[in-house]
Amino acid sequence: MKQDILARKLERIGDLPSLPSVVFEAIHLLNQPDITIERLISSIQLDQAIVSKILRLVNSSFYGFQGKIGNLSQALVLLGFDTVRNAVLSISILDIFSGIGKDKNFDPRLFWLHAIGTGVISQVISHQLKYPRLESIFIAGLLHDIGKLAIIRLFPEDFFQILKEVKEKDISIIEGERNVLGINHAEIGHKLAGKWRLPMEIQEAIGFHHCPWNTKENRAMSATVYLSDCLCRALDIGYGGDSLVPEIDPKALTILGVEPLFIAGCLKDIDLEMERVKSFLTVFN
Amino acid sequence: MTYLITRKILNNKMINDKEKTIPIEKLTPNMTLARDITKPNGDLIFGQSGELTESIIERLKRFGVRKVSVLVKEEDEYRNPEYIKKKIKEIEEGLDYRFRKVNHIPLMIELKGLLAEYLKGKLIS
Repeated sequence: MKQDILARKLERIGDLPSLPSVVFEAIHLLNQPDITIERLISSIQLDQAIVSKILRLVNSSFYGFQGKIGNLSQALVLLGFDTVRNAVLSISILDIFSGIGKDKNFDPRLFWLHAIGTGVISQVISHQLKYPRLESIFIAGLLHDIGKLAIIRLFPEDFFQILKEVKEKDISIIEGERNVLGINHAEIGHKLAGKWRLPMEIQEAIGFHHCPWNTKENRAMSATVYLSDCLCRALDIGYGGDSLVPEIDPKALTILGVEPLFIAGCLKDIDLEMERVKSFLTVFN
Repeated sequence: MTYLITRKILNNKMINDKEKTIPIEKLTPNMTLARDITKPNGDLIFGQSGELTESIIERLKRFGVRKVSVLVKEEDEYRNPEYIKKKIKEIEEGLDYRFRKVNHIPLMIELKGLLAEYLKGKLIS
């Protein structure tokens, strides 16, 4: 009986909005080695809201080109391809989060900050490990909790019930999801990522960010997002739905081939990158 | 007679600056106002971006202004030992709280120690 309800609930993933086309383009361009700046510009330009936000960002005091940058190609040349793409993605995800109402247990901006924080930490870790897929890793981190968004959209009442249980019973959000829904955000996110036809490694990182040792391929990416999610909580960046640092399974460190001390070596870079992100945030406040 | 200090101007506020309300006696010319100084009816006495001088501060006192809101650079506060002590306590309590369910696991104790060391070190340097 309970299984039936769950199956019916899961069918509703098909009702979820598709990824904004500019996000889809920006992610899929990653897998094409011969992409050109023109191609990215033409896809971003379709979304004027994003264009104006990017221009606001480059013209902000943070980048120091105050009021001098008038178009997207100038912005791309000055900021670089990766920065602009990550900005596009972060802004779009913020837009999705902002569409959700506030609740006393839920501030969408803090959820977004947790997503960004996990993306940033994933990138720092990968950089230190000289991991070859740096472009995808930020996105994998940014989107790792996309399943929570799906829950909010599809089952808002359940979501607020989950948050309530998390608070009352002092449990993690993933336990709350298991109690209330019978399925967790990683599993739902995995399905959604499949529906969005995200690159396979990103799908896996989303689906296995709580158990990277269960993936067959792309284990390093899943393990990086797993560790980053834990660190993001430990460093109190944003809010992922509960205030608990989960136990880090040593298997994840083994997958990455690192000692715990390695984490200490990442902290400075995480700080610097988060400072950048916070300046970025103030531009859109 | 008291005057309300309102109309926060965010644009001029640096991201690392903190707003602090101080008695007018402590106001000195090198400080930056965080808000306009206005009368209770909203009339402006002195704008937030105006430059403070000894004579202006004297006049503000004569106006009956008692408290003003100023911007304090975080680095100034970092030199204050009381502030550092308070911050260190916050760091430790925050970590204890977030690690409350994993406080018995050796790997997590090690991680907590590494984070505490880094966060405290950042405060002092």
